[in-house]
Amino acid sequence: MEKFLMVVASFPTVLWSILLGVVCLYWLLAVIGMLDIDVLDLDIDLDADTNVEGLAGLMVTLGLTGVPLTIVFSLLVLLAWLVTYFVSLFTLSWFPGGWLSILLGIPVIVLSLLVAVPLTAQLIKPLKPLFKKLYHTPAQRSLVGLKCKIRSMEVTPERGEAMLSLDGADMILKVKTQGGAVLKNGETGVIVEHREAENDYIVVPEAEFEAHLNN
Amino acid sequence: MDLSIVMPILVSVGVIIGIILGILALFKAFYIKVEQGQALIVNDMSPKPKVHFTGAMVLPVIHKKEVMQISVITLEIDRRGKDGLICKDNMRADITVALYLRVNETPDDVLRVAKAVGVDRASSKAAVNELFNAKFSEALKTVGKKMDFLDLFENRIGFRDRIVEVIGDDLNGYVLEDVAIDYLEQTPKAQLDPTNILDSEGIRKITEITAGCNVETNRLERDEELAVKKKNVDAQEQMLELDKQKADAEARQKREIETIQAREEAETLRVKEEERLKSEQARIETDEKLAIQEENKQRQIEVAAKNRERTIAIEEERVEKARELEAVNREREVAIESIQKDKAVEEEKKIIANTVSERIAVERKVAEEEENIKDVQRLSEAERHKKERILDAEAEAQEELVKEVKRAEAEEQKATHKAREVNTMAQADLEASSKRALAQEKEAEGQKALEAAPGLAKARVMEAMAEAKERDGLAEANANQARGLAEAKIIAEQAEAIKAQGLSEAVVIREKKLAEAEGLKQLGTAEAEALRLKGKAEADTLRDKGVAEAETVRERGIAEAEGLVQKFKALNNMDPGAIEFERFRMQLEVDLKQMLEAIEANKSVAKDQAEVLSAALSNANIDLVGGEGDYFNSFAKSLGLGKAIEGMLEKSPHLKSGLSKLVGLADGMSEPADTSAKSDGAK
Repeated sequence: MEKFLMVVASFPTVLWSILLGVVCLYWLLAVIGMLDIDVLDLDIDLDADTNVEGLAGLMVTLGLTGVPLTIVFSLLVLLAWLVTYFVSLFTLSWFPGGWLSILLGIPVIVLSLLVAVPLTAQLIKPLKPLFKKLYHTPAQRSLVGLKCKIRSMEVTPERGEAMLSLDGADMILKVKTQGGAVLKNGETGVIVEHREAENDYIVVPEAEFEAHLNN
Repeated sequence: MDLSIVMPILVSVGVIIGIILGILALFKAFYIKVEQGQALIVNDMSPKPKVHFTGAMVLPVIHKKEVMQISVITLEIDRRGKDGLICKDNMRADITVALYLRVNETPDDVLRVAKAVGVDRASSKAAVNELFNAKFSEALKTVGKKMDFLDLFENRIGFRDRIVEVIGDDLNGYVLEDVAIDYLEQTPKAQLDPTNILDSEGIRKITEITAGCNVETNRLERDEELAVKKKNVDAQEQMLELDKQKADAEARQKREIETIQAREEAETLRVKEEERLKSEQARIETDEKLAIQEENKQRQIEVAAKNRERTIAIEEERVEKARELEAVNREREVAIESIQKDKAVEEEKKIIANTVSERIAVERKVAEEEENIKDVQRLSEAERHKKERILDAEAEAQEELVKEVKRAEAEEQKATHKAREVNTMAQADLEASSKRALAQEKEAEGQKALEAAPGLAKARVMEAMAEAKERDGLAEANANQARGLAEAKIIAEQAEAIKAQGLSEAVVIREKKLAEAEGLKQLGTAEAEALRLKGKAEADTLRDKGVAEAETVRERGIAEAEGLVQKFKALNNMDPGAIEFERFRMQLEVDLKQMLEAIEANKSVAKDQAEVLSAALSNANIDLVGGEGDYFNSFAKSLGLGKAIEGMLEKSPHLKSGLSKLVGLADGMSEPADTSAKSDGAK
């Protein structure tokens, strides 16, 4: 125990130990936040869109993206601390102490980082899909090529309404035809184009669409 | 284990657990989930807000979340009375239209609504109503003026399409899901303003249509009333008819029931009376039988009383009889003693008479023997005559007998029937008479008993006297017997003498006969010998003669042959006349021979026939006089049958006429047929 405390408190390890303490404190507060909502926001998560050039590039290079930064940082600190600690523990007797030992400690820290970064990258790999889902924004689904049912009396090049079901949600769309074709109420049309400007859709009769496909 | 090794591991484990818990806590705190029918708009650091329909991480400080209602919102537009919708045909309609608004579940649409209306207002119905009411009212008026009043009912999709058309795309991202005409009525006439151009036209139209309709309605109502009334009357009529039928049926049923009841009661009474008759009959019969039994009992009692009296009387008589018998016995014994004395005297006399009678008997025997010889001669002659006569008589008698028998049989049958009749009658009589006789007998017995007593006494006396006489007779007979015995002895001795003489004579005769037989035998043998010799000699002579004859015949044949040869030679030498003559002679000879042969053959035939006939006749004779009498029976039978038929014919005129008809039929079949045909014609 004495030895553990001594090693933890001694130079190369003490750096990681302080950071680990901060991490522990953060997670402790997060856990408390479970019980008490609206905790102080200590989230320093960086969104994918945030342009922190150097760091982000480095992160991407190291394969440390895709999960919240807190988790990455926490794991990195923990692993580095472990490496440093064990190195210090087994080479303690060689260190004479003083500033020489500090000189010797810097390579140890670098070494610990070299070990911890790939290990962290490996550890966070299974967590990536979970967080990817969480941060995924629903894309505007394209309706082109889907079938719709005409619900107005008729669809002309001027006006018309059609309805289509998408994932259980009924959508009522403004549809128009091209080239003078007319669709009657209850018929099925196929959406072939979406015009952003008028926010309407061009439909063609189903039979015509099928014929087109076969050709 | 060194703590320095363990501790860091423990620290690591603690930190990892802390991290996991922390992550969970973060999720809990910052992952916002939204219900269906809502959209989550997250304003993050990017220029375009993100729209989520399920849930998203919303981190504090850096994110802003807004929740918007995207489910259907109903707006109601109500126009009544003066504000009623004016239709194309200037009719005013009270209308309530429900409009259903919705946001398409696409991020673009949601964002458009959120931007144009604002999340809070979009989620509030009142705000949306305020926003769109005027627009919808305007659209409603415009569309209403384009459609006839009745079309509003019929063409809902058209109505909605037109509203959508009029409203156009000016719904700020909302879409019009549906339009429902919740309430649609013509505005009441009273609420219309007659001074209003449009309304006045509407009033006119309404009046026009309703007046026509009312007239028609009234007509229909009156028709209905008429039909109802008619139907009611018809129904009433039918009901009454049915009531009548019912009453009729009930009355009929009642009548039938009563009829049946009356009939049954009558039947019951009849049966009762019959039963009473039977019971009364039984009672009367019982009374009758009882009375008869009573009478029988009375009779039996009286009879028994009479019997008792009779037995008493008989007993009295018996006592009397015994007394008198004793008296008679006494008298008889006295008489017997006197008779004994006389009898001894008579016995002596009888011995004398016996000797005399014995002598007479011997003399009579001699005479009888002589007469017997004569009798025998005459008897044998008479016997022969008798036999002849008997045979003749028997034949006749049998014939007679058969006839008689048949007649007798017929008569017998008649007699038996008669006899039976008589018998039964007689039996009846007999029973009656036997009953009578019994009665008389009983009476007679009484009488007899009464009368017998003195008779019996007399008879006893007579019996005693007869016994006395018998004793006399016996004595006399003994005497006679003694005399007869003596005579018999004399005759026996004479017979012995005669026998001795006869025996000696018989011996002499036997000797003589034996001698004769011997002589005859010798003579016979001698004769036989002589005959044998004679036969032998004859045979020899015959054989010699035969041989000689054969010789002579052969010689003659030879001679004849030679003669013939010579004759033919001579004939050849003869003149024709001589030849003719010779031929004729020969012919004659041949004819003669033939005749003789024929006669011989006829004779033998006749003889055979005679024999056959005789044999047949002898058989016939046996049949005729046979003991079996079949011939006679059959003959008699036929006779009897003939007679019976004759008798029947004579007695029955119908049969006679039938027979005569039959004979007539046999004679001519056509005649009766003709008559019958004629009779049929007559019918």
